[in-house]
Amino acid sequence: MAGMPIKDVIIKEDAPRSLMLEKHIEYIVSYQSKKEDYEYIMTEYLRMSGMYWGLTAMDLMNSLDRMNKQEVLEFVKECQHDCGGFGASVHHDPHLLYTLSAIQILILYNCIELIDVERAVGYVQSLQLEDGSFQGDKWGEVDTRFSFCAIACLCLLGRLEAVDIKKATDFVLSCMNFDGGFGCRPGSESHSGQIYCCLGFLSLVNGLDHVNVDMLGWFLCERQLPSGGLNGRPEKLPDVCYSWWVLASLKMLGRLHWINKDKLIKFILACQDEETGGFADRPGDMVDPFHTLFGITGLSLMGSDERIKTVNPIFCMPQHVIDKLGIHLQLL
Amino acid sequence: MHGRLKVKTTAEQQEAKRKEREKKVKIYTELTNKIVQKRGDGHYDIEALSLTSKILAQNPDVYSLWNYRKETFRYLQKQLPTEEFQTLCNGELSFLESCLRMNPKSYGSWEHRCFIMKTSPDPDWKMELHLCNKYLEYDERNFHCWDYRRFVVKQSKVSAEDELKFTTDKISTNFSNYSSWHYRSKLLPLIYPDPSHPMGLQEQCLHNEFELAQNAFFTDPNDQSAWLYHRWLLGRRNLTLGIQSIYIKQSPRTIMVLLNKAAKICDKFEFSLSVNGTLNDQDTKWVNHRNTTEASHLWILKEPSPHGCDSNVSIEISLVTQDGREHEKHVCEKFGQSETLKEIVPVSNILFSCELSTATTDVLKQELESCQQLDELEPENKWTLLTIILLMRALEPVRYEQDAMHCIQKLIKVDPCRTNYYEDQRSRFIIENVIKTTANQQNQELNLSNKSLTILYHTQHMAFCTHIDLSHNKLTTTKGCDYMRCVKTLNLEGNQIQSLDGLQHLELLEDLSLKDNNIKMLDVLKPLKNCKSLKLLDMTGNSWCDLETFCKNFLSHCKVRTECFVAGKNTGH
Repeated sequence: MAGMPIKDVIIKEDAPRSLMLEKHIEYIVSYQSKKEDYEYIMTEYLRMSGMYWGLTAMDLMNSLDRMNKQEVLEFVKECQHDCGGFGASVHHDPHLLYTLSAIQILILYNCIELIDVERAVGYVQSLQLEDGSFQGDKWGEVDTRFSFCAIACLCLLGRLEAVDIKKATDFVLSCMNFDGGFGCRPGSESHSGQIYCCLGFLSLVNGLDHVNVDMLGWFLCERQLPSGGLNGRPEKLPDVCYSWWVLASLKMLGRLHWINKDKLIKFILACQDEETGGFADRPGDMVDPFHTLFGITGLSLMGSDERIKTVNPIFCMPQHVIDKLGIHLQLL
Repeated sequence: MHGRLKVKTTAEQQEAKRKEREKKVKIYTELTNKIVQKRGDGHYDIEALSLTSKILAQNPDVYSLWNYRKETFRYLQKQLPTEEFQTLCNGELSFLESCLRMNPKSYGSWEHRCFIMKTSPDPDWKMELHLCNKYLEYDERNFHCWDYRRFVVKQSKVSAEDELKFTTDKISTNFSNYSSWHYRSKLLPLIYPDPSHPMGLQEQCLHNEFELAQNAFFTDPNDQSAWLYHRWLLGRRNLTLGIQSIYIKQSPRTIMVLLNKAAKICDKFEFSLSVNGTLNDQDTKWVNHRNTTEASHLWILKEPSPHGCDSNVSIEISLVTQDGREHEKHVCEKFGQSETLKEIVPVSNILFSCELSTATTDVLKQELESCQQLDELEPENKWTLLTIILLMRALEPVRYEQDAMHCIQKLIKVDPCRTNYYEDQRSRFIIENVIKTTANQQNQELNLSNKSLTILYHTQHMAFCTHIDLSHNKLTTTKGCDYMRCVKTLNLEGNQIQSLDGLQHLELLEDLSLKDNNIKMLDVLKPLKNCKSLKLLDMTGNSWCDLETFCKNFLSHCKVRTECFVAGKNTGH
């Protein structure tokens, strides 16, 4: 059995090397104006999150004022259902994922009173199951992503006591694996996205002491490939969004220094598109707002560019916004 | 959103694509409007399924449409005779397969399949298992499929042994199969449990796994999965909560209890305290090393009783775990000194890694030899080097110290990307060995100077030390120092310290040297405001400013020496 080559990308000589902030600002601004575009319409099912990605990126790039605040707030309000939950867009069913995105948008604009907060809390509360886990919506899919969404929603609304924290914590911990990481459900393989959600959860409930910091920190720093980019789990290709999931996780564990910063910065910058602005998952691919946000937030966590505001590693929101809320979070 | 290559196209090609997309958008919008209308009118019928399938076949992530289908299935289940409904379910499973073929990683598709299988009157679980086998052939790392498999296994009660065999087959076909190794780690404790073993597994099972992992990584030394799995095999499960040491001081009256792992009081355990045979239940407020009640190794009680800790008093402490059982009980009797340290678990027995049986020791010794041979053949392979270090730490950490340090240097050359990780691990091993070999804990001086330490580990074991020397290392913060609750002299000279967070809880600290560090801003010194016993602070060799004002405001109670001046107590300033 011959040795397998390591899955990775090669950064070309002519890849972008400096941060083209203005281009990214223009990219996000123009994205929201392309409402008739195929891409835009086909991603309607995640619109609320898409808006959160764009708005957060713009605020971090000191350009939130370029976005249409009124239009955004009206849209968010329209998406709240009677049960209190939010759908991804108008005519889309309520779901925890989009409830969190909606709340994040309103907190960003300091307009949380525009929605029915009590009902939103009630919706989140109603989704907790006997074993402490959270379903994403009434149809029952359970995933540690939803545990994070639920607790993050409640923290942002100042209503953490609305659910059974002990049971919720026990469920999250039951998803811990041999490598120190976390998966979607008990028994699921470790994945950096899930790790980020579980650590974020534990940080908000003061439970990071349960984590095997060295083991998990090692698993996370092993995500860095020769190209400098990070993958999500062993033997996968690097992807700019992992610059967020992995990096934020390491930050929460107090092990950010276990990643080689310079190499990662080089990778992230190489994922920019010089023509259109925005970031892609890897150099040479198509850009989108999702990867643009996480390219920016990755750079923010590493403090690589003064022009980018500080991002909070748990909420993936501007730190100055989180500071105003007085939320208790644990960082090792 | 992932893996879409940006391809340059001609103006012609772009125009053709634009037209095609315009058409698609029109169809999509028309369909969507029809569906919204229909659902709004409360119609759950075959047409609902037909319309939604047109969109879902191209875009299985439109979750609301799966929901409409679920509503339709629920409704039709009540309307249709069982056989007809079963046919409908089977048709849905076929439809889902076509969706999965196009996009095997859509959460919506897999979740809907679970729903149909739970709703179906006569579900065929064998067929589902077969489907999983097929999709894992296409992509053995598809976690959606693995999770779906676990759902099928649970519903149809497939045995853990059968599943273990499945992973064995997968691994022998292709070693590089992290998902299979992971699944094994979950199945083994179900099939071969042994609560008395540190890993919770029967020893023979463990030895088999060592062999399986070895076969894999000796055949393909670049196969990460096997090395990562092997690291787990060398570890241990969680320790049972127990008391490490008890410390009693007469003046000021204090009891300190060191646990063998961090735990939260009133959540995982409680203390039961008796003085001279009388249970002390009046307001016993234990706090941790940070003066809170969050999880910690160290718990402190001040003023435990009116009689305090007089020398002719006997104190009995019990650890009561959350199930109400009294776990262990220790008595400290009629001690004559002003302070007593009772070591429950000898320092040399402190378990930083797994305790090994003779049989396992033999297995690991052989492995170590084999790995060392492999290292000679493939000196660039970091996994071999790392595993050699882990094996040495597991077998005889003190004896192999130099060899392990040598390996770490090689590791840093071979894998420079993770230099900081390796240097932190080196620091950990050095600290572990010093703690293990410190003659006994009554010796309350600890010397860790000149060891290139980049980080502090296991500082809970420094809780009772009064003199700690950490000079001439590479520390950048004082994280971990908050456990040093008995320290009087702390030497941090010659580090790179920029932050003093952690020092604010050191109530007994009298003499602190921060000479030749990296303190640039005065507010870094704020934690020292709470060090009530601090008498002497050495700040020379730091680049700071406006020290005079700061001393007047915060440090009037201690003597401060700097290059510029000597201020504070006893100097008349």
